[in-house]
Order: sequence, then C-alpha cells, then structure tokens
Amino acid sequence: MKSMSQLKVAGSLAAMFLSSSATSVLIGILVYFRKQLPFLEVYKPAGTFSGIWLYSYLAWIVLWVLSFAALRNRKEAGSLRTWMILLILSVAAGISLAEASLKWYTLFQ
Amino acid sequence: MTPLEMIMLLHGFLATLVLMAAALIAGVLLFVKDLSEKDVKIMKLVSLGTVFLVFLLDMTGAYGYIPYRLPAPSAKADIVATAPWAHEVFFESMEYVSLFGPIVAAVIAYIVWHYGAGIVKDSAIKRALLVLLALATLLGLVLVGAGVIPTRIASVR
Repeated sequence: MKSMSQLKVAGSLAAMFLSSSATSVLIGILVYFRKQLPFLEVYKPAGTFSGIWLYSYLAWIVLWVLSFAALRNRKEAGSLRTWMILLILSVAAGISLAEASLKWYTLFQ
Repeated sequence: MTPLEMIMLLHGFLATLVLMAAALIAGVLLFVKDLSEKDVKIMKLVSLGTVFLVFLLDMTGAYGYIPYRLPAPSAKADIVATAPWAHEVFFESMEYVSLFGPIVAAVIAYIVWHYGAGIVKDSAIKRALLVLLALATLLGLVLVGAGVIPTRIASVR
C-alpha cells in the first residue's frame, strides 16, 4: 500500500494539477488588482467580474492544453503528495489574495 | 414568481445538489471496498456531473449578479445602505471565491476518471480525494453562508 509521497502521478494528471494551481493563483492576482485593470470589464453590466472569470478560465484551458502536451508521455511526473500540496497552497494563496482586496474594515464600522 | 427569482431559487438548489454530490462521492470512498465496471461509470458520471453543476451554480449566480449591482433601487443599494459589510465582505467573498469551485471540482473529476476503480482500492488516491472533497465542501458551506447573509437583508429583484 503506497502513501501519497510514494505514488507517482502520470503526466496527464500532473498537467491538470499544474494548470489548476496556476489558475488559482491567477484568479487571486486578478481579483486583487481588479480596480487597476480596466480591461477586466469585458461585459459592463457585470463589471470586472466578467473579465476575471473569462480570462482566468481561458488561461486555465490554455495552460492545461500546453502542460498536457508537454507532460502527456511521462509515466511519472512527481508524487501525488507534491501536486496536492501545490494545489492546496495555490488555492489558499488565490483565496487569500481575493479576500485581502475586500473591505473588511466595514465589519467594524 | 419572476424568471429572475426562479433562477435565484435554482441557484440555491444547485448549491444543495453540489454538496449532496460531494457527500455521495465521499461516502463511496469511505464505505465501498470495490467498484464494478458499472459503478466506476456511475462515479465518473457523478464527478463530471458535479463539475457541470458547480459551473451552472456560478452561471446562475452571475445571472443574478447583473440586476443585483444596478444603481438604486437594487438589492446591492439596499444592502450597502443598511449593512455595507454584508456586501463588501460576504457578497464579494461569494462572488470571487466561487470561481475556485469549478477548478477544484474538475481536479476531483479528473482523478476519478484517471484512476477508475483505483479510487477505492488505493489508499493514497482515496486520501487525496477525501482531502480535496473535505476542503471543497468546507469552502462550499462557507460560501453558502456568505450568500445567505446578504440575501436575507435584500434578495435580488
């Protein structure tokens, strides 16, 4: 019985982890800087949310295709533990960046 | 009931369905020792269906977001006037953090499709899936709470 650190993942699965991790950080960055990035207002009625959604998901697809093309033939591309840690930390970083841009002080007004 | 109210009702219903689907997958991982070919097919469909549901959940939320953020009279104007924190912290958290939902759901579905019956046989894969499901469910519950608070003050109209 293997542990997560002993289990090596195939390149195709690593591509999914890699593109998803990078996209999670990208979402956080776009949300954090949304007020300085007017190009994010793709659809005016939805404000910058429209561009954050569109560009981050487009980046996700492109990153997945590129990383899949690069890694698909690799039978072993890192351990499951490494990819899990990368994904969880990336999602946590993305959420932290998004939350850091909110007006938390309104809770104490 | 207006079409907008029906879509927002569907939005809440989809959130419940997604949490139920996550519980179903976690239940299989925790209590099932072996999966037949038919079971694997069902698990693959459930996991892929969950990705679709999470995406649809975001889509219905975005549909309600447009009338929500209109100038007064609108739900956002009412909330900002009475309890600005409900919009600035809770609504905005729901709006942006929900974008991570389809990503985590897609990773879970990919693992299920990739390993098939191995998800219940291999303890490392099972543990990885359970960790992701637990974190996604926790995040989902927090987001449901973050959505309920502003909705209780002024629902989208």
